[in-house]
Amino acid sequence: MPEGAGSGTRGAWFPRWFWPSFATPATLWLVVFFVVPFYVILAIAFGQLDQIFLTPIPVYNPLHWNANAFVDVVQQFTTSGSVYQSALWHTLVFVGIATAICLLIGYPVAYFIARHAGRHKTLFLVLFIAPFWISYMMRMLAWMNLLQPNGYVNRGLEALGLIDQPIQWLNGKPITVILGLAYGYVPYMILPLYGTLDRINTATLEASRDLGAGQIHTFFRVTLPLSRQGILAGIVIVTLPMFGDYYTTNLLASTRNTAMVGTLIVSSMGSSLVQQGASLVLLLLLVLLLPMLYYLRETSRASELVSGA
Amino acid sequence: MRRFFRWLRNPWAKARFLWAIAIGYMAWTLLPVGIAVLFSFNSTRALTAWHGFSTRWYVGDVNSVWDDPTLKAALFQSLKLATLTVLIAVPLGVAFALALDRWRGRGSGTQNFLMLFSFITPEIAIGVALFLFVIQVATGIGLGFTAQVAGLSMYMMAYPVIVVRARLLSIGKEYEEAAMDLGASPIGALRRVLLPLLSPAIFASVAIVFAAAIDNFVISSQLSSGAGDQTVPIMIYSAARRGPLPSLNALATLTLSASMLLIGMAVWIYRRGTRGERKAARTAIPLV
Amino acid sequence: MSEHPIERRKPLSRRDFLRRAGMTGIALPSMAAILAACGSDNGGGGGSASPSAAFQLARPDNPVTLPLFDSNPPIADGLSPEAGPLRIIGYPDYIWNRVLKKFTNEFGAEVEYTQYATPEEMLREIQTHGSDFDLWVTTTVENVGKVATAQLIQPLNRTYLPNFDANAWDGVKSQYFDVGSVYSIPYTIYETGIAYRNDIVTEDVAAMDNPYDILFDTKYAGQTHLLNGARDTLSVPLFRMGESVSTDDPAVLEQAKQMLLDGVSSMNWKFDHVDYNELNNQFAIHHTWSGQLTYYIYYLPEGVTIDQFTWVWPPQEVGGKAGVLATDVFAIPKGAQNPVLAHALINMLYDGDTALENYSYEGFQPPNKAYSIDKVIADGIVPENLRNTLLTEDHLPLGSRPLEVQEWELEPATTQLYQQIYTEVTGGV
Repeated sequence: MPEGAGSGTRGAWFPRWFWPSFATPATLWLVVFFVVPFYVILAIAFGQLDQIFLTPIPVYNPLHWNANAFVDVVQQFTTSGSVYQSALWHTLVFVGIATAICLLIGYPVAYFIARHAGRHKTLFLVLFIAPFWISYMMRMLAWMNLLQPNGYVNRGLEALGLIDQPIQWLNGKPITVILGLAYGYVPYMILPLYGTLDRINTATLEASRDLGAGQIHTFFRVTLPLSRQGILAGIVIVTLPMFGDYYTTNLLASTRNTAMVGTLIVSSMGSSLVQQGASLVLLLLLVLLLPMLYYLRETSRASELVSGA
Repeated sequence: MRRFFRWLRNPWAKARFLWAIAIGYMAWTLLPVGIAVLFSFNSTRALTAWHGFSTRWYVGDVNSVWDDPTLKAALFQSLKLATLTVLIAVPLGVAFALALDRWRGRGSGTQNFLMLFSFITPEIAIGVALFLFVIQVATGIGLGFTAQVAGLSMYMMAYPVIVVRARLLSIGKEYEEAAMDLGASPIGALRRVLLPLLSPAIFASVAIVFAAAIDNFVISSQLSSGAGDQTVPIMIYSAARRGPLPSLNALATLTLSASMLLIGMAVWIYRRGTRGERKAARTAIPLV
Repeated sequence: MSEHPIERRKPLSRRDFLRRAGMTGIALPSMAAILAACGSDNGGGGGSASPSAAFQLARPDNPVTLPLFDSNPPIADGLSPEAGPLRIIGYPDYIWNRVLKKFTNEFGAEVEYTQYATPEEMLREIQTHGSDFDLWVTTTVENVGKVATAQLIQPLNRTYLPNFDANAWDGVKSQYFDVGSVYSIPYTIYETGIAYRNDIVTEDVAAMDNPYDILFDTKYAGQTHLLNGARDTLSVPLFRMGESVSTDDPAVLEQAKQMLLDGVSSMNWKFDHVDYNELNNQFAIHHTWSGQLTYYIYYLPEGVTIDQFTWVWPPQEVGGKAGVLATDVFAIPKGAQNPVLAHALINMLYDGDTALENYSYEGFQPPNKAYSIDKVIADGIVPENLRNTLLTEDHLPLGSRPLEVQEWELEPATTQLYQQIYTEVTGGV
């Protein structure tokens, strides 16, 4: 087949600039609306404040950056008793437990779809992924109504005889927020788990059983290790958005003792503490940078493998 | 109760345990939403007690979606935002996917990296960054609908890229090469061979981006200008905290229906479009 | 296909990965240069770093005449109204639509109303593109001096405001934070006090030595709401302690913060404005503004009548505690394109009939001589049992009665401190 003009792809007639130019509009869009805004965050976090109004003045030259405000914010997290420290603690605890719940629920479900759904695999997958295209707000609204003092959850619990008095679920209970987060993000966990579990060769499992391992044994010594990639991917996909969450806790609890880092960020932006808000966002990104990069590396690697680069 | 557990633990039907979990999960996930949809048809303003069927919260009551100007405005605002976001994000994303698939030069990896990065960054960080960008640098745009479209379309671009790339991988290059062997120009091959083959994936992207954009909350609320351009999720968030009426459920149900419709169409088109390939795969002699 | 190590061709090496990540970062310095060029053009558009004149804090015993600048003159006399549209920036629904329609009919100009819920958002808009607006409805006592000194608003031309001169209460014609009403004209006047359901709350709050104690009474935990602004929320412990509500004493503020933190855990307060929807929920006590109570009568929960609400304003009661008496003021941004129209609307709102009409919908009192308290009650705008929400000219000028205080201007650092305490206490929700 005739070679194209040095484009490198087999049998292509395309000029060298043809395909790259397809990427240009999207890249430009990304640069303007993704990269630049993050630079603005840096410029504000390390910038100046207007003397009278205390509104931020961005400083774009890195040589003139001033890290004092940022350091102050970091120090708030180490001051015991401050709302920042408690928000950080809440965030870690809520996200940790909610992720664990997602894993505990998502794994069996993903396993089920991958290995036991048979002919109905696609149908089940669609149903289980349905929450993706049902508005998050609507799902939370649904739970808010169910968790009212005279809502169905309390009525059900009373009917089963498990409680005497209606429980005030929406009164600032951490458990409500944790369960809300788990409810919201379980579908995100199922998808990568399903992907990995689906790809496990049945022959491998049969071999394990031929060698004498029982079902439980096979699961723990063969299936689980093989699905490690999916578990890690699922954990990262789920925890990243949870760290920035503020709407779940504001809807389901809305008190100081369930405040998360996201709540502080959003309230800073709406008041005269905008520079602090930018610093908080920066801090959040710095903390999450390693998991994000890890995930990117794994997905890049996976897509390279699949596309045969 | 004990009989139930014994049934579950039957060693000859290990799957029963998993079936129970699966059905339980489905109920837990979908039932609350179903109840919310149901209560949008409640005949009273109660949200915790069913009093009979009525469509008053859709049309008729002074607070219904049709009669309350703020609710109606929010619905149209959401539809407008989702449509424009699709119109920008899908073409840009499809073009980007094509480029990534075909181009192996320097810089392609970086651009791919950037795209994925935009996808996994926590939305609040992106929202705040865009907000500050718009009020400090891009003041010509200003907060409001234009900013929302710009920011949201950026955030959504990754979806078409992922979907179309996956489809491109399964298509392969043979069809285009065959077309060009027969004399088609590069653009012609693209237009008459590749794009039609991609159309199920493109339509799937349209559906996904539409559904995601119509439900978007964080970025659109950060970029909204005061109370002027509220979308449905923003409206739900502020109203739910103060004392919701079933008209809110009705509003949510309407946007849910729009998404479902589009997704349903996408699935149908996808299955029709790839029907030939599935048939071929089934009748092909397995070589692996 | 199984994953055999041999099949793993060309894995993504760490070097490749870092190179790609780095290439994204290389672009940053060049971007810095571009942004600096964009940014500097933009920075001078709104409020800049330092004002040309020194900024004084206004107090009742230290009234401030706001400075005039050559670069910011008032509009000339005798101009005719522009074609419009009149662009207003303000709190949601703060002028009645019907009144705005009347304005359009009379002057032929459409009205565009851009809503923002908080003073900070409006200030930000005015700072970045104030000349896109013609009328600011409203700014607070705390901010007038700052925005005037920073040349964000323009001095008014009283020749366009004959109704103000004729009808406004004498006491508001010149206030200590804007002597001579050069930059601001008051729109509404109100008290900040305590509203409660007298069928739920058994105490006689008005007779208490310290009415603010009721907000900390754990008997009503979970049913008490406070306002959700840094100044308003902090005013509660400060008034309760008998301190100034504009104090900058860190020790006092620390005490106030502690009192609020204890209250948050024992009382489980909700921080919000009284919204009519809340009346359907469990609200027994609310620290709120007097104007809000006029809404209650339209949104009563089932089985509740307006008689079951009582208003207490500590300065009027036996305990001798202070309370906030405030005014919201109009201002016209510098560079507004329709200033004559803006003046015309202010003037129209001071016409006696229009003021009363607007009041009947808004519920917040205009300082206008054209009506009397009895007429307001007779017209049904305010129910008889809430007569004590109404103010008369006797309370003016502002600052003349020591117990009736305003939330004064603060040093920027102090403002920051108040904001931070507020965030500490509420956790940002």
